Amino acid sequence: MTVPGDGRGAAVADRPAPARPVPFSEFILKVHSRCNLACDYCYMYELADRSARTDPPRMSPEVFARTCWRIGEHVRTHGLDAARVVLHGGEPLLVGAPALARMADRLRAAVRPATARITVQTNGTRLDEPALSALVGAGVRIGVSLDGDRTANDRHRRYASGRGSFDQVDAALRRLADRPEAYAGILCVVDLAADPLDTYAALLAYRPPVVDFLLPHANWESPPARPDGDDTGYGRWLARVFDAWYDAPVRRTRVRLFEELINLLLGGASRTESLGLSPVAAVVVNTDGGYEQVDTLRSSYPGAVDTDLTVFAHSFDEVLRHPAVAARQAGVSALAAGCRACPVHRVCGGGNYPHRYRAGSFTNPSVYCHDLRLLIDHVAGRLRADLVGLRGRDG
Amino acid sequence: MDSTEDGSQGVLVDLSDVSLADLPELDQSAFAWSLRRILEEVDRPRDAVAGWNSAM
Repeated sequence: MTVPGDGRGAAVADRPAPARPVPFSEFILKVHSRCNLACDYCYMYELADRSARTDPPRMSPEVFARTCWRIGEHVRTHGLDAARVVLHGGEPLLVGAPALARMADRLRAAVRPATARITVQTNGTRLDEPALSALVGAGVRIGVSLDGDRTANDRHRRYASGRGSFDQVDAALRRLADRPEAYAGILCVVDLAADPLDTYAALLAYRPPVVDFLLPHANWESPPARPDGDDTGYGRWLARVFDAWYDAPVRRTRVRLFEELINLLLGGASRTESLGLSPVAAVVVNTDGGYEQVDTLRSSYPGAVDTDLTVFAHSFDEVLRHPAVAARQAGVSALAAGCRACPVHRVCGGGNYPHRYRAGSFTNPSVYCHDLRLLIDHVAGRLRADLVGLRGRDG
Repeated sequence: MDSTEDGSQGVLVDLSDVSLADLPELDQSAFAWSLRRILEEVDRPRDAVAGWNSAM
């Protein structure tokens, strides 16, 4: 087994910890660290931290067994009713769907009498009919990554040969659309080169129960592409999709980003780390058994995800006490002073954590700050206008 | 309403003088779904935690 981490998670170690840690309820297992695609924006292989290239390709039976035991331990220690487990990669289907189905069975057994809601997040290229049947049979739900129509998707989501992945993913999503009990939804990375409405329409064609739009991982050291120099370009792109979604007389799909944003604006809480100040309750177990912070931090600097803790020697409770993990549960006190003074800080929550990185610190606004502000103001305006109508109806 | 450290008003949308009773029962718009969600959370609060962004 390799030794996970090298102590370079120090950039976040000076952050305040919450009074009482919130237990983990979402466990992300890196069951296979390699991928059969070579997407140009991949945070595992193409951005700041490329250590995944030397991780064990596959989670060993010993690591998996110990991880199951640790999850069960954590669930029982905190009296949790349920755990969410994401089988992730790289590309998780590289271990084979029958193996994933067996993993699901063992995870459920490990947390009983609690329940385990198990999801695979896949690039879709290996989701053929036998694989789909195996996962459906094991009660595993499936999320697929797709960036829109063929042109938009194949601009970034390509094989190492340069060939696009659209044909395989299109076929997989057509199959999955006929198995709604197993269909978790579609993840789409925003690309300013793609038309927002065409992108949304392309996703809707697969009848997803949920869609989420992700901002490409970027930070102040490595800013996002802005071809026209507009520092609200991503916000405008998302606002156009918001209007298309919001104006439909019947909601055709859920859009996680928009629903969480609305809930925050109405005074509720967010359930996604990309917005709001809810404590992050997700943790990653790498193929080598090392605990990691949410692995999108790999986009910021080498070693950003490391905790130096492992399933063989440490419990999840010990991970909760790690300063860098505790910082993700610290709420408003973890924000930059400038963010705390901003009128939208409880809605944006400072933005997705990896997007705040600059020169060794995450105590900064998001590199998407202006985009988020535009989107938040846009959505708030739409809500207020509709509430005027509701008040009028009441009066 | 939300406020910043210096007490200025935030962007939260005020629902305090809105009656939701007239929201049509069968309204399936995103707006209606959103109002029902926040009402349900008021009626049945639960701990809010943030899930991972890179999976559905």
